[in-house]
Amino acid sequence: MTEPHVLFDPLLQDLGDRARDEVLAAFSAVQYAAHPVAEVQLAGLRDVTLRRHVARMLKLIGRTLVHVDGTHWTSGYADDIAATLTAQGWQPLSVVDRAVLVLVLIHSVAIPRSEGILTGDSWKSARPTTVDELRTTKISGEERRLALQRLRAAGLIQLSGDHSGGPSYIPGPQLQRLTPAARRRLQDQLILAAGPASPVAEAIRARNGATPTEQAAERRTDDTEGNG
Amino acid sequence: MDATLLDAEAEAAVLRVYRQVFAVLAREAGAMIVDPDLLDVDQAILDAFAEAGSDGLTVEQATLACRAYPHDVIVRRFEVLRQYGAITKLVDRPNELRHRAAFAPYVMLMFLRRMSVQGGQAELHQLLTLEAHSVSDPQAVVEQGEASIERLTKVFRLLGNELAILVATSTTAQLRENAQLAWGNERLIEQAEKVHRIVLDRWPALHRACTSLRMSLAAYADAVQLAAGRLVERAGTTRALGLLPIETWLTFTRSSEPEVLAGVLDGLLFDAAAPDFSPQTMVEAVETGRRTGTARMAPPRPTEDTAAPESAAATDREELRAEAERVLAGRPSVDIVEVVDEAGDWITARRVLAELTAAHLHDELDYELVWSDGMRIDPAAGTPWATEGVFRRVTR
Amino acid sequence: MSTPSEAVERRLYNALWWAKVQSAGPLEVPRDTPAVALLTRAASPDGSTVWLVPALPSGAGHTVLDELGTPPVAVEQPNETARVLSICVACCWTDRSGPAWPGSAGTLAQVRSVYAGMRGRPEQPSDLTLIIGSLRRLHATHWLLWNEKAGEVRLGPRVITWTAADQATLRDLCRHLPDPPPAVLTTTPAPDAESDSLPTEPESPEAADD
Repeated sequence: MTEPHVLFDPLLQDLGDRARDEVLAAFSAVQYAAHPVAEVQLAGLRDVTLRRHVARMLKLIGRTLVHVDGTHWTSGYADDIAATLTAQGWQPLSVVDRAVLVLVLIHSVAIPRSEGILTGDSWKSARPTTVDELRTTKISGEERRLALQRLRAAGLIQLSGDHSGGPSYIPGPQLQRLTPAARRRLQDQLILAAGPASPVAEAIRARNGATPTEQAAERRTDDTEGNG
Repeated sequence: MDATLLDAEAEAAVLRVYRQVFAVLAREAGAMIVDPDLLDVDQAILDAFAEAGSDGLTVEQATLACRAYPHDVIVRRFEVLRQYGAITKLVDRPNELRHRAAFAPYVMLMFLRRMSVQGGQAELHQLLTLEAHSVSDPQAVVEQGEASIERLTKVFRLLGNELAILVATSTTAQLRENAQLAWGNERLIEQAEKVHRIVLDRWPALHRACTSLRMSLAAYADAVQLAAGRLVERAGTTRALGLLPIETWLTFTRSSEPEVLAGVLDGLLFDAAAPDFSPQTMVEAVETGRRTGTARMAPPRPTEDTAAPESAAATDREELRAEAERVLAGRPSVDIVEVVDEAGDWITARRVLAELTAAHLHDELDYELVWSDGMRIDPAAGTPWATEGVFRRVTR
Repeated sequence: MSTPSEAVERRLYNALWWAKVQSAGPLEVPRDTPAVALLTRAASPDGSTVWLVPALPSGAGHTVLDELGTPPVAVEQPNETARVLSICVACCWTDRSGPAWPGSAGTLAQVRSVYAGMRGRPEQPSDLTLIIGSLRRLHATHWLLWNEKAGEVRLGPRVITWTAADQATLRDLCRHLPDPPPAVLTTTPAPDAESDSLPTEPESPEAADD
């Protein structure tokens, strides 16, 4: 049986009481706050040495620090951990939940990008996805309603402030927990799925160094594992 | 700052297409529209003529019909349209005050508007369809086939050149702005190849012209690939999304099975919901939930900040308010039967009704739910049996 | 006394389990699953399985967020949900001389009765929807194990993280809530039958909630 604090003790024991408190506060803030936390707000994030301690604590639980907008921090899954687990078929989010989330991402982020009206380089967007836009798919009303509830509870989507046409949704704060590699992966997979024959998809495959058939085969395996 | 910059960018893009198209119409430099707003004015004037019918309009009537715009602007544009012959006197005599409008400028305006949105891609598709149609016509002769092939060769050369020069000389941002040149290119190329095939089958003698078309198509495809490669390389982690046309996204969302949509998130992990309920939160929630405030419990930690439960209560309240406003949709009251039918199935309706009831019961919300004796019975409805009543705003 | 590669392997093992728990919530695993640092083990009532529940050193949990003014992800109907959790504690923590986990099974009828009693009025039609919504939310996040078909509820593995001081506060809270009526269980009260009555509980994480 492992002792309760043995995991972090080697990291924290050299620190003074105050530094220890600051590291723990920063750890909690990036782990549990819904939104990224301002660097200036916490010594544990401002101070590079303390921040390194936070990063090491996170590494022990499979997480990593994610820098947001150059001024804020949050935590997300370390790329290697996410890769290992998903390769084993680990995907706790149900198919319907993932499908609804992807629809929100397309309507709130991908389409506004095609319209050229989104600035920045994140999955943040103020453009609401209406329930009508989600209705265009092969998911029943009840399934969709429950999925929206679960996605909201997890901070993957949030209600947009605009209630004029009934409730509408925008990507939630959890999307900011994606590491740069995960953000790019999401972008690439979205393009490869929606426009596999487009020049952009071709360019992505070329960059990833895989031929279209290899890529397609890879996608198929991922699918089977993801749904298993 | 961003909004203004974006507006300016969008306006510049519209103007660019207008300039390009008007370039072939303008008699001399400077005689072109340089302000996209003026096109709105032109459209308003032409719209007014359409409404006016066969009696036409005087300048005064036109300015009155377009009173949303400044009077002098309308008068000036009216004059320009008249000089170019878009508007002419109803009858050509000195004292004639009434005018009529030609239809062609309006058609042009519609084309411009569409092209300013799509950068001319849709129009090019239509052009290619028309070309395929005309070379397939049994009456068509070899000269028509040749002319068709030559037109297409030139269109694709121009497209390819423009893109190749952009790739070679412009910044990533400029390139991205012009990404529509790379959109939907396989469909364009396929359509052009179809015309090529028809012509070559019918008139083998045109093989040289056809070779030129094939070369210009290949050059265009290369330029597209180069541009896409460079854009993807520099697009960061989400910006490459803007390189697919909107229709592609819409088709994908409408036609895909849930499994395919879900597959986009392969390899990604997300956090499960993990709300914390501290015993303090629970004590305070029970405390605020008591209707009768008599048996108040002593707070377990008197020093504890009480802001948290209040904000939790506020969240409850605001969610109920949002739901009530959604149902009312700006009206002072709404029939319950309508609410039930709107909800579709009974499970959803039950949830909505529960929230309306909670809004009705909430001390700080000004809504009421009043049931009446009637009942609507409709076997075809999602919820066949619905008790009548109204949900409405009240002043307390 | 472990070799470096063993240490690396153990670290990866810990990290992977933590990532699993963070992405799926507390997990029910066979009892012989080796320990994971900082994941508390909550043995199921019959002892055949254990739940792995995150536990953190003091100063590294949600409590810090209040002080910082950086709230966690908002809970839908937070007050109703916290009330229903309180009521379930009152119904399921029957032997309050011991720890709250695993407690015993309570029924929807008990919860409804205590809810109306807390409100100080007869039950209203909207109560049931609010209660069921809260039970589902709490089940999805493992604060409760709610068997909707049987109308029975147990405390969820997350309650294992309540400290002695927390449990003292909750004992007090239970005393201030109306006493629940006796539970009338539809399933046999024997603890080992309980795990069967929850077929949708994540062994496979795909079966989240409904």
